Amino acid sequence: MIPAPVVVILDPAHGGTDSGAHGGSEDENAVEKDLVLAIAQNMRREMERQGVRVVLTRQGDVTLSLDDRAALANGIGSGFFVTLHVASTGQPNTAQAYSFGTPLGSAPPVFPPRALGIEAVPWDNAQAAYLVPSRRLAELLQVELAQKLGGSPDIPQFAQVRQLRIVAHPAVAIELSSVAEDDPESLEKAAVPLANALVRAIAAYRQPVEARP
Amino acid sequence: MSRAFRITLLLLLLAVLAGLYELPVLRRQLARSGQQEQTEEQARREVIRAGSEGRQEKKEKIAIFWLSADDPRELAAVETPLLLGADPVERARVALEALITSAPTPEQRPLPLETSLLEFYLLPDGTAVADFSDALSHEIPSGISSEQLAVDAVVRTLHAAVPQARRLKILIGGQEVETLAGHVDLTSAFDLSAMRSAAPAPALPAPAAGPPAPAQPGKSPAPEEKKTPPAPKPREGER
Repeated sequence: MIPAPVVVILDPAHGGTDSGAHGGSEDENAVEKDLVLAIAQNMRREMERQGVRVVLTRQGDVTLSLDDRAALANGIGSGFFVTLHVASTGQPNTAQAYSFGTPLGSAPPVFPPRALGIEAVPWDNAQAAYLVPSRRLAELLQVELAQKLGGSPDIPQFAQVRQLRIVAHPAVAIELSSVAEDDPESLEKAAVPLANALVRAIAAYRQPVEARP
Repeated sequence: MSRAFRITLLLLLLAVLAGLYELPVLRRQLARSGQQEQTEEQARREVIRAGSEGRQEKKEKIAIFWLSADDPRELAAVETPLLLGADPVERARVALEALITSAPTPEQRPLPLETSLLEFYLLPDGTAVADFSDALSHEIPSGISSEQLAVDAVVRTLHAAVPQARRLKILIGGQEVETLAGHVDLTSAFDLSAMRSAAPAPALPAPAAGPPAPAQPGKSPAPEEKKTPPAPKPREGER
């Protein structure tokens, strides 16, 4: 039996009027929206070379709402969603993975019951069915990130990322550090290690339970 | 020279001498008032502090959650003596003002110093509403981690100061916003009762069955979406 092709929906965050994080005053041109787009495009090349089908939520410098991105992703039958960010702070050349949830000791958001009168999951609860798969993917991914980008943490974090909450796939956010370093464009070199980390994490995720170490 | 003219001249001389004597005093007063010039925000904070001092003389120690000095990716509770008073709204105001302005070092601030708490309400059902100025969104370092730490710092500090508050809704500039600064979700209230659990908890209700497609806001569900099972009900404590 031929295994189903893996589809990864790769989301370069921000774009258009939303520049995201800015570099320091010495390099005002370094903005998160451009960095994540360049990294995502390079990741796509590498992942497609390895047989993974990649869908980018944006191809250029366009303004997209979080709902627009989620709508694109949720229209795809089965896949993995990865939203890509670059922080304005943090240890240089490291990557932190997040799944949707609450950090230790913090409080989850309240989801009021809604009388929709239709048999469908409320948009705001789209991630509800994927909390455990997303966490597992984040754990596998963070192990790979720690190996491929030295200095990265060993464990993923929970965060109440709006973009993840409205996606109906196993979904993680990756945040690279940082746009404020001396040569932020050097972050683009992280694309291939990131792609390899993601491919390996997804392969481990898809392993049958009995074959897992 | 007439006698009247001499008297007038003498009075004028006395007035000049009195003016010369008063001049240094006036200069000192002007210098003092210049030093006391405050921004509107500082003055407002002083009024709040003065109000709380008037109500309670004894300071109470509560946990304020600033960034850890050892690891800025985490929060650390610092027992801080504050004049809190008994009124929950006043307690929240004093604690959140301290969170913003009184971090041990500038690097340990989870919220930008420019932030101000515009309004705070506590509804009878335990819902707290904290309305912060736009600076919270505009000045916070961009990123998932920094936004999550800011929200957690507010939630945990409020929980420590006002145990009556059961959930917290954060507004920015009087408005409900989708995210704090592009990342962390502010559309829902944060459940403070979940603070008591020791382990990280999923933030969304767990599914009862396979994952159906979500309904997009403002759009009718596609025909195949109507075949999906009903949305799972939130578990107790997650509403």
